[in-house]
Amino acid sequence: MPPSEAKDNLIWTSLLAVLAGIGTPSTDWLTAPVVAEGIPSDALPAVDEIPRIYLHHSRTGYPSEGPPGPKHRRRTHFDAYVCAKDARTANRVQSDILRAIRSAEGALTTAYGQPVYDGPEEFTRRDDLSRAGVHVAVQPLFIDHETDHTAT
Amino acid sequence: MLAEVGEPVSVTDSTGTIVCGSGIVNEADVDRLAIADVAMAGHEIEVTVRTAGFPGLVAGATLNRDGVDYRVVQVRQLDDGALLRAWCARKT
Repeated sequence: MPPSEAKDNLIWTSLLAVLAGIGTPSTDWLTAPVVAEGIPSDALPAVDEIPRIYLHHSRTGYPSEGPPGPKHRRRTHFDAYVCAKDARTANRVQSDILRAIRSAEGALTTAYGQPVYDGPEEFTRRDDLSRAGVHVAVQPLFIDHETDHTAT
Repeated sequence: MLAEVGEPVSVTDSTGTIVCGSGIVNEADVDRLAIADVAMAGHEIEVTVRTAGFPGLVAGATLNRDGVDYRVVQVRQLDDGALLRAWCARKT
C-alpha cells in the first residue's frame, strides 16, 4: 500500500482552503485577501487595496503537556504572514483569519480530530518592509493531531 | 546633478496639485525581514528630488514616473534638507 501524504501537508492544504474562503461572500468579511502557500522567494509585491496571506508551515513538535506518548500526538505550527498596505488593514485580515478558522472548527475536527487554534505566539506586526509599501503581521496557528501506524 | 541624471517625475499632493520636476530613481530588492528561518524581501523604490521643487512630496502623495503611479510611503530629508528622498510603492 503506498504511503499516505504527510499529515502536515494535508492539514496545510485544508487550512489554505479555509483561508481562501475569506472574502466570499463579500458581505460576510472585512477583507478579501489573496491567499498563497509558503513564503515567496522573490521580493514581496507592493500591496495596495488587496491584502495577501502567505501560509507557511513553521514546525512540527509535540504538545506542551509532554513528549509523545503511545498515541503519537503531534502539534503542527503554521504562520500566516499578513501583508497589507497599513496596520489597520492587517488587523482586519487577522480578524477574518480568526473567524475563518473558528467557522471551520467542525470540518477540521472531523478531518483531524482537533480544530486549528490561533497562537501560541501573539499576532505581531513588523515594520521592516514598510519602505517597500508592505506592512507585515504574523498570525501563528497550530493544531494537535495524532498519527497512526499507517501514516506519518 | 538632478538635471543631468534625473528623470521626469510628477507629484500629486492631497489637494490635487501636480508638480513636475526631475528625480533620481533607484530600485532594488532588499532583504529586510527575518523571522525565525524565514526571510522576506521588499522591492524598494527610492526617488531623490530637490526639496524646494516638490513641496507636496509627503507620505500619502502620488508620484508618477513614466506613466506609472506610485504611493509615497515614507519621506526623509537628506543632509542639509536641500534634498528629499521618498520611498514609493507601485499602486496595484
